[in-house]
Amino acid sequence: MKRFIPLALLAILSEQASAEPFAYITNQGADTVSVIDLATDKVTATIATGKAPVGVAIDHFDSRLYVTNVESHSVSIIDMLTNQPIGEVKLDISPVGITLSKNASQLFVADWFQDRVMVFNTKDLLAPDAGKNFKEVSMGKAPAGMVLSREGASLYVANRDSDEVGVIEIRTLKVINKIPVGKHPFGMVLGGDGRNLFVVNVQSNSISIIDTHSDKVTATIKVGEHPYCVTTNPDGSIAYVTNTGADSVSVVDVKAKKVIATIPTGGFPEGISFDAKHNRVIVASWMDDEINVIDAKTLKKISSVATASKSRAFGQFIGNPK
Amino acid sequence: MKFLALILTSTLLLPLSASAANAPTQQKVIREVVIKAGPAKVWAMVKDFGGMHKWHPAVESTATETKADQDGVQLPHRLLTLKGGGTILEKQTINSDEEMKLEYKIVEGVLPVSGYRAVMTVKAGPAAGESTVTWTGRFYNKANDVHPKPGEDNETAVKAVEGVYDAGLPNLKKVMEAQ
Repeated sequence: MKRFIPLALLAILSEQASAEPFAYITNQGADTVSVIDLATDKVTATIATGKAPVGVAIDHFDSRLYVTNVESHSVSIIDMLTNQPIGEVKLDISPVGITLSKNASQLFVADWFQDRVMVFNTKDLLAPDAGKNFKEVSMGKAPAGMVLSREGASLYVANRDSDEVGVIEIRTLKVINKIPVGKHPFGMVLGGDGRNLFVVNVQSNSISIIDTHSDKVTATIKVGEHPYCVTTNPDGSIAYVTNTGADSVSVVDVKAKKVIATIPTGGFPEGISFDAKHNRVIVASWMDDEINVIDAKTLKKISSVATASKSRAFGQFIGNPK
Repeated sequence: MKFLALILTSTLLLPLSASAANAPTQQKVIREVVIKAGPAKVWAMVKDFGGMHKWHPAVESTATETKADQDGVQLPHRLLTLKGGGTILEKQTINSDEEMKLEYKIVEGVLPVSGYRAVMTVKAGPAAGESTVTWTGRFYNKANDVHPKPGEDNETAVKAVEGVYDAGLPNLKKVMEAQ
């Protein structure tokens, strides 16, 4: 009997580890999320959201998906096990960037126009007036992409119109650093190794790499026209950047600090995430209403999957519901 | 055309320029036309950044000048003077013979949009000796606010750009096929 329980737990854990990944693509023009099974590359569900969904954040503890709805000024909460919306938090802002704390107890929402980051307790989000119950931090203009540090102590915020990345200490909600980067920082990702933070500078046509130990920029690398979002492979050695003005993805060798390939994509590629299980890069094409699948080994676009109008998928949008 | 004229004249008194915090939702308009003329010939017309009045019926005249944009980059600019008044200043950012692709952005003007970027491409058409011209626009509404005012919202912006494209492409076809 004593051995039975750990074995059962082990079985559950290994089942979790082998859960198939899904991509959750926000469709700004269709007010939906397309759910794509990355084992089959088929759309397995289409979920209604508020108006003009853009940002996504995934809570792997409760299998919840959070989506920012820019035009209905709200955050949709979706159960990833049933692919059903279970709540909508009404705000009075245009939310874009969204991310969660390390244990998913807090939700961070960037308020584009009022220059602040709103902090919610996720356990209260299904309450009737959840949208009024938050703390806030102000530290720069037009906050966009947000990324948590590896250990979860700090939140990095791309303040687009301040040309800098702000660093918030989550425990105290104090601003502890402001890091100047290129012009109009937008999408960000923490490298797979947890050390380097990658920031896209939309108007400088470059990315900045920030060492999260020192909070200093260690490299600035030219990419394509009007870059938007970025992701990396699991060990953080290669970064992939969507260039909305060039309809391509720049592949960056992080150690060599240079672009080693440029891959043509659909029109206006935006959100980008790494499908580690299948060693592929998934890109949302806003103009062509589809995702493009890139083989990370050959660096070739291998297929496309139709989604719906104006796919954005701003954030790391691949998750394993379980 | 009537609608386009209405849009253009009703916003005459409100010149605008690209503002800092564009609304977070871009809008898009895509229009396509098949022209019975070879791609090289059609591209020669489309790529002529200073020649828009030759094919767009709402454009009275086009004046070009190469000058520094707001980032100090030297780029060709064109000032479109519209029939019935009003102007639009645009800068050319890509003009590629290889890809047959023209990209330009509005610097300021009477269209009720902000952050407007347009791409025109010419490709081989469905049959020999034909071309397909695609005109795509990506832009924000004019308001740049959480609650856009009427006349500065997404619907107004999209209708205005649709008006421009729907008036322009059929006439481009007419002009090219008459040559």
